[in-house]
Amino acid sequence: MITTLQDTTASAVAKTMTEMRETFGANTIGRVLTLIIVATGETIDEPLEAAVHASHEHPARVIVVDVDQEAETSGLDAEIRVGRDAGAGEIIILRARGNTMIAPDTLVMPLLLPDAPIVTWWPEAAPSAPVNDVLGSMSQRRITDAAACSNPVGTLKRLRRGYTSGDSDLAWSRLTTWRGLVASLYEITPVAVPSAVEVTGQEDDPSVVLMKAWLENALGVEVTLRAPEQDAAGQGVQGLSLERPDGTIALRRTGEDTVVLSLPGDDSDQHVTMPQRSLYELLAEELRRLDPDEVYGEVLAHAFTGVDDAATFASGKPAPTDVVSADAAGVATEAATAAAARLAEAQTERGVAHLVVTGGTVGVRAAGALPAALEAAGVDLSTLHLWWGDERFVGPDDDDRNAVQVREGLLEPLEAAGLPERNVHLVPSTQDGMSLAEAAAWYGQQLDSAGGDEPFRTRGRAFFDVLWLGVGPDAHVASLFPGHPAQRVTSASAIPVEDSPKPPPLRVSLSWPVLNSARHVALLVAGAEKAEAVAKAHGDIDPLQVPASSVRGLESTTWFLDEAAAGKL
Amino acid sequence: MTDSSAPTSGRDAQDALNPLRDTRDRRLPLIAGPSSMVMFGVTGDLARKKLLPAIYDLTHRGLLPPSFGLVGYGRRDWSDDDFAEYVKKSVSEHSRTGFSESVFEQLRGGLRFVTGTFDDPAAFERLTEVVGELDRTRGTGGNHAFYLSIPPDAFPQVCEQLANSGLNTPRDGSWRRVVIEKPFGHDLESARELNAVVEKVFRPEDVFRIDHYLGKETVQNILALRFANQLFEPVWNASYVDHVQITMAEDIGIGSRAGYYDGIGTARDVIQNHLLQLLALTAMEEPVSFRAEDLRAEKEKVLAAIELPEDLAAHTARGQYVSGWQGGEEVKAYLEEDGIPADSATETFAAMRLDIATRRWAGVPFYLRAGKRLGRRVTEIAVVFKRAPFLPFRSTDTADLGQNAIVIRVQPDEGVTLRFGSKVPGTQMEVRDVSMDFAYGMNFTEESPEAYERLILDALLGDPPLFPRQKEVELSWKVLDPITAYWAEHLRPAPYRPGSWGPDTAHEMLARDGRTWRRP
Repeated sequence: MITTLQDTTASAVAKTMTEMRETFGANTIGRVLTLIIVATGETIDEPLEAAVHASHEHPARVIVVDVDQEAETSGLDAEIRVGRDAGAGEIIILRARGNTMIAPDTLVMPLLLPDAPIVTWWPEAAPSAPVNDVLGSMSQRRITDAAACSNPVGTLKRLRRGYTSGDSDLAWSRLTTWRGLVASLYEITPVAVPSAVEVTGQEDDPSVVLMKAWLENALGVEVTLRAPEQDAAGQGVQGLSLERPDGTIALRRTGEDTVVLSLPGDDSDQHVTMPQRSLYELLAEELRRLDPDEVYGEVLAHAFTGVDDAATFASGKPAPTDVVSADAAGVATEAATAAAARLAEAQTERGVAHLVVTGGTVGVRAAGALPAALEAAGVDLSTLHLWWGDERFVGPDDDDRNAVQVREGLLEPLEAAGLPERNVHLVPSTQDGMSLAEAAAWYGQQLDSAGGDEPFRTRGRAFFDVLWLGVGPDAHVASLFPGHPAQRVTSASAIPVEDSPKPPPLRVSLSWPVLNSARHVALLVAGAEKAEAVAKAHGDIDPLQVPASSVRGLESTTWFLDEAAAGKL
Repeated sequence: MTDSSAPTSGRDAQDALNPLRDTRDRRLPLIAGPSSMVMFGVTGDLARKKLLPAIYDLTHRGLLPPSFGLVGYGRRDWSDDDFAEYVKKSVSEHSRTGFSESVFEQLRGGLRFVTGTFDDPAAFERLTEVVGELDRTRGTGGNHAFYLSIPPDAFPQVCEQLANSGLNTPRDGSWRRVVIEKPFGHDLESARELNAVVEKVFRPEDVFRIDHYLGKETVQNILALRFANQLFEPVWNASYVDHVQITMAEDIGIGSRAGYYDGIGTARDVIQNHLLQLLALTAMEEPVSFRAEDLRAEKEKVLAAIELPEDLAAHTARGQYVSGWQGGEEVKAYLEEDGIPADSATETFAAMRLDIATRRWAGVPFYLRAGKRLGRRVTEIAVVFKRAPFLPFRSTDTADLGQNAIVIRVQPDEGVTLRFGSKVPGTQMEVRDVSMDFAYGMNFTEESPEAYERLILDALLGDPPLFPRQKEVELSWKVLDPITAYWAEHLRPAPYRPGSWGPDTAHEMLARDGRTWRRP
């Protein structure tokens, strides 16, 4: 039985469900968990079918959050399925249009089963750090699928950086049958730790990467990776061999559901059935245990070394160049003109442009020069997005806020000229009912969801087209201060900063990987008091002591300086 | 010798030796090590409908090693291929996970058949050769389990032949196990004799007695319910519990089992094993761990503490179904079933009161009943609580209030029901019984493995907790023997209508104690 609700609210959905239950008496089954599926407007049939199938084993309430942020209007439509249309569970499909996703947690809150654990599953686009996602943070288990993302291994790598106990990925569950088989082959007498292990599979397949890491981690031997034969189609691990004193134990996938096993001293191959596992089987396995999979965490950590040094994000990119103007006004004009050209270029290539603006004296002047420059360059304001590199956590109209500083010169003229309000991505203020930590998490979520599966924490990827930064006399950028402990956090997109050495003390800042996810970085500096910092920042990349040295654009990094600021170069 | 002193078998040992088995890695399936199974009685009903499909389903789930070998032993003059055809037919009709050609192909590579009778030394020679060939070509590693799906009177012959051919003796580091099915004798003496035959040839820890009831999810859930929760254990004693009813009812007759059933009867058939095991799990103290020996120690203690009623005539009942209409079909009386003598005194219904002489259970009767052709197919354990000592309501307010109960439904529709009083909505104060129901989910069973799958896998893994040991078997017979002896002398089965809940004597038996049977 299916009921649809147009332009509704979460509490109306909850009420309708109670009514349906009273009418049809479909409440006799103990549901053991709430499964949230985060969809991205693409087809939800496949994950939904898997969830319905898995609900036979794990009776669940399934909530699909289907997001269409680009929709013209904002609102919520819902579809409720119970009984025959929902397997052994019940299904709620929430179609969230426009601004409703500003508060996704409030969409699902009234619909969660009391006390029961929550599992969130991203069948496609994986968030950078699942635990920092608003829905992920409510969940005991967070399930991603790196293989379904556009850059699987890159996704796995950023999941590693954002890993928290309770995360898991379907690339790992795809391995379970393989791992079980290998573990039992290990027990064939005479048992011995293999001297060499080889895994056959594509190096850009996340399951292959995890298989290698699992074996290395457990056996303590080096595992070599071999590319499969040209004509070998199919995904995942294609073969494996264990070298032992008595000979080689080898496994080779020969067909869609068979693997051939050869044992030492036995030339008759044995066939083992190992079908590719369907999505529902993977999901059912994930739901079987809701405690954290520590082994997955360790294997993931083994697969990719962590980034201890934030310098990694900036290194290996084009060297910075300098554009020196006579005075601050010249810096502003130069920067605005250059930015407008880059943004127009981005719109031509991708149909959308993302600009990160900044506060400070030069930043505000440059912002003031921007409306004219954008018009001159022919930038389409309806597809221009504005973000902030950092923001002070104060009242919404406080002069300390970067957004307030550019309100008159940038925001008001652009909005008057047609920039949609929703394209202006403001950091929450103290009046938005969030703590500093919540505000940072919220802003990070907005960034992550705008980035889809193309976003941050992967080197060599860019989300922003132009990123403007001011530089302090201590060489700080955004709110990443020299020696400040907050700047070490690289697992979240936006981070809370307390005890800022420069007032006001509470701030939200983008983190290193996100700042380093821009095509073009522009550092805007004027004044002799900053000459020292500018000179230092032209030296080696040193995020901890000289933050301004450590933000680089994928295509260019430009210092827009006045003569005074360039005085010590 | 205890299980723990055999380091090359058992799950713990496996974990310790294999760095790929991390105890925290709960996803990793436990796959049986290299091994084969030799099945005697492979052409029987049980093998065809349950055992072979269970082996196939285990293969399908990837839980058997690729090298797994299955050797059929029987009188038929079959080649390996004939046997493979037979297995294929059996699994395509009865497998739980659906037939797949490629899964069958994997199994097929290890299928062998040996023709012979149970007393033919030459055939056992051939069996030895076949098993050796499996070790060489398939890598079964000398690990072999012998499944005796045959009548107990054939055990001596088979065991002797296995011993003569040396098949019972493992080489270094490998194992030989024997799996036997109930009945484990028909009284204490015969159980001891049977055991002597088997244990002469196999070490006690290598004997796996299959009681498929213990492989059921819900039975295992009794332990989880009791010992994983704080809610139930505090009231699980004589201070709060009034009595316990354990019911195992079948709505069918004896069917084709006449040959076995007559002379055995319900008490020996199911009460001695299934119902007493359920009683033990319900009544036992908390084991210090879930290791096989600790679990068994508690079960043995409670079985040893069972006391029989002094007046067996008043506190036991036995019955025999007569002919009649049941649920829309006309059914035969037990005495009219094929192969049953017209004067048979075998019972098809048995009920008894047992007491447990421990501090926890003193004064709490456990009522057991089981039978054929009863109202419906159901197995359940009902723990019925005492009434509240004081009710601050007018007596008319609570006229409809019964006793609180926790009911564990073992089959079908597995789950747990909690029964308690609740106010009826309205201006009047009126309290009535309601049921709170936990079901495993309406289709849960479809995904949950057959008991035989679990048990065969555990036997191959050498994991003993779910298998009763000889001591338990003997203790159970000690409980039952005096009752069956008394019945043979003094109590003929009372007739009961098919589709009813047994003879009047069963109802009178509870009425004497001021109680009534639950309608399950």
